[in-house]
Amino acid sequence: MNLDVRSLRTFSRLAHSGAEKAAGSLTTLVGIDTYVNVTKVELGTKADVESEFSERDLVSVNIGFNGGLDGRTVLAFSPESAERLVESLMPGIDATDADGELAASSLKEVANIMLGGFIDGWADYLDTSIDITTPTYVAEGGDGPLEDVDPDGFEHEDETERILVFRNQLEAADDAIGFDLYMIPSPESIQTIVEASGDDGALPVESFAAFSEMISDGAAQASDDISAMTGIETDVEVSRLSFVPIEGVPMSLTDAVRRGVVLEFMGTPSGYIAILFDEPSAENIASSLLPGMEDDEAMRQSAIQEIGNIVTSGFLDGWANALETTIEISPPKHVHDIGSAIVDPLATDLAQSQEYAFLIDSTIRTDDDEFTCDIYALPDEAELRKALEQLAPAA
Amino acid sequence: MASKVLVVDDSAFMRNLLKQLLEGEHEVVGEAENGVEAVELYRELDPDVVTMDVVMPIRNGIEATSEIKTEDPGASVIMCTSVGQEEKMREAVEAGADGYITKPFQKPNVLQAIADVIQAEA
Repeated sequence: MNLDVRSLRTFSRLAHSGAEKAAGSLTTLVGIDTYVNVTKVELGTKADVESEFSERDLVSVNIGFNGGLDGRTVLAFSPESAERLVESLMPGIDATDADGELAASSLKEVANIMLGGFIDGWADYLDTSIDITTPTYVAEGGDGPLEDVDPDGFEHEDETERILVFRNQLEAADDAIGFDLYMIPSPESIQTIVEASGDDGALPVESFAAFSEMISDGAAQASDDISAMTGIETDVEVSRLSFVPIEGVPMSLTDAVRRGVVLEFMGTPSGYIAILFDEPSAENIASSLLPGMEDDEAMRQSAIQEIGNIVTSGFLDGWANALETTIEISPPKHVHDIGSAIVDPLATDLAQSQEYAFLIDSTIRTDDDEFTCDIYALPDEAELRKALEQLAPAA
Repeated sequence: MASKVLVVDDSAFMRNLLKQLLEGEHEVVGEAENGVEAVELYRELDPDVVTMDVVMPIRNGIEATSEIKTEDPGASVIMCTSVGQEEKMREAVEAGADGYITKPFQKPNVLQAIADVIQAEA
């Protein structure tokens, strides 16, 4: 199976267009203006997707599809969004009973209409027929969205298998309801889509998977370095490679305040990397590195910069060695702002030469969630393609 | 035997950490936060060992090492780096580095690296 940046652009546009149809369906159904916030093509593992669902306590409706394309679509909402949606659909019923039969039935119907519209767009593009299965409602805390649910026959048993996920974030105009719309095609179906996009210079998908594994290895090294330096035992929770329109990059980050460092890296690939801690984690790090120096803010900032520097090296060294090249990094620049604002100038700089970006994100945290570190890397698209080409022969 | 050490790192935190690790074992005679200051302080202080960060503003550690080694081929320079890239290590060796330690530091590794370069010089 082959993939290329050009195919990814086609995928992204198609997924975005499908999501807009789905948003339009909801607007028609309940009169709530809904728009597509960001569309991403992500390469991750089944475990990454499942982990996101369990962490955010998402409610979901799954629909399988088969025929011209095989796979699964999932419409996911927070329990609060599900309640608000049920209230809009059926005013007067007990909306807090979102797990109840009537509420579940209404959510399934919404998903049926929205996901049906989404899949129709793909069928039109491929000039084929795609059947969808009946929806399955998965309550908060239920089986993961990728578990094998009859009767769609969707199977991804290996937790570490790399899967391609089309992910669209939708929001109601008043921000009261948010959705995530996922589409996970089977490997054979990805090949079908690539062939339809007429991609000649495509790379084996294995080279993307190899790079994705390098990201996971880099994140593991960064986690080890944090543990060695601070004594705080951390693990990598999520590590993924996304393809996203450049204007969607800041929207992919939190609006909560983050503290950390931003560095530029130069080589093949070049780009930017941000190592961001939530505020309690930044304080924990500074305190563990500088016990008894709570009042020396300059030194505490220096400690955070240095750990950002070390984490960056741990993250990028594996890439450089695997690609048999050198990646230079700039001195770390301290940042303290909301997450999206930190990344916005980096995306703006890259936007001068590219419309889409590869966004690499990894999360390192402790079991008790007391410590969280997010790593975001934004490599230059053309240079990352060169790097992927280099990985292709070994794939 | 205690050696005179010049600590070079753009991070105040790392300079502080190295001073703590070396306390009671070696004498930190000076601190520099970039490659230009490192060369100037080397001339002024004539240390036995320099611990040299790689990535620094103004002038990086590899360039500073090269200049120190050109002026004083007998200088002992240990690269202190978070960069574990093989190519970068080769560059450091070509610039004349006598050894390297990788961040995050462990005290025994730092002391052993200093002992190794002092012994090699003797």
